[in-house]
Amino acid sequence: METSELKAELEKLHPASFGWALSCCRRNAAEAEEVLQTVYLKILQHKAVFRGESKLQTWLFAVIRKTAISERRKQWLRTLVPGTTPEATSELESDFERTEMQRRFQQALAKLPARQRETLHLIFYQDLSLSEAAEVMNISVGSARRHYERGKKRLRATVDREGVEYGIDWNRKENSSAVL
Amino acid sequence: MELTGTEKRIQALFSELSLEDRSRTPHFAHLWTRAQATKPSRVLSKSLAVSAAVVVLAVAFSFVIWSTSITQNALNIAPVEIPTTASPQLAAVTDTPPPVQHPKRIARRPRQTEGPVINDAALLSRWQSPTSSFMESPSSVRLNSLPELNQSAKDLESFLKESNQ
Repeated sequence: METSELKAELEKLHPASFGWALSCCRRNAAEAEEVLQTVYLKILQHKAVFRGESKLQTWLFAVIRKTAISERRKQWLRTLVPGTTPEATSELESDFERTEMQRRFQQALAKLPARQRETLHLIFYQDLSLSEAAEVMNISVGSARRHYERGKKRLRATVDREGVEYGIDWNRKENSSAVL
Repeated sequence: MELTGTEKRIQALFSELSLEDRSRTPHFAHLWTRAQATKPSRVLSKSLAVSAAVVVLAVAFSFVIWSTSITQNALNIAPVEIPTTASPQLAAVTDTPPPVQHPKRIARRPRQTEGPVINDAALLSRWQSPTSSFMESPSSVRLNSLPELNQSAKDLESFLKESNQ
């Protein structure tokens, strides 16, 4: 794929990419921006090359995820150096005016294990299938399904414990096989 | 993908989150140009790091070579022949053999800890003053033979007079 063509495709995916980067960076906008810029740099330097083996979106999301993990590792190493102050890892209490429900929802989401949160994000936010989510996370479809089910269950449990009123009938019967 | 009940509600919350995220998404062009701008500097910094690593490795390698050559020199000191200041004539006269250095001691490899100390001591013991030749008597050259034990005192005096003349 030509660079100009790839650039156009990346531009189309940019908002979704930023949303995914935000999820990978625990909702830290500055960190997500840095990660996304690093990803674009990797693409420009041909360190990350799209070979057409999968959808561009899943490939890009996998690159974003790997970059976010490595950036987080670097940040953790920086905190070990004496004299450096650890940066805020979350922007849950940002200046954005969000509803109480949304705030609680994000809090509950932040409490989930990373894999579960990522699976839920890819399926509900990015509208990917379970197999695509598994590809992004470099895990099997079975594992992705397990993370999805557990994440959903835990999200509901956390929300219930905090007494959040979603107006949702959580006990309503659902078809779990409908995901694929 | 067909969603039901809980899933639909969760998706609604995620959709709300998505809308919020879109409002704070930075412009693509902004990030892209920033990535392009940082491209050379990052490459430069990487090349700098590589060259620094090469220099450090070269210095370390040369230091290792230098230190090994120093230790080898210290261990392989050959027994230095002590230059005899006396003339060959005198050497022929004297019956006593020159001081023989014990080859075993020299050949024996010193312990690693005592090595430098022993080497220093050996070097010091072999040292000779550059002015030691001035200490020789000029008459010593003329001594062809030594007086024997039964030689009379007169003979000895005459011998000494001759040698002084």
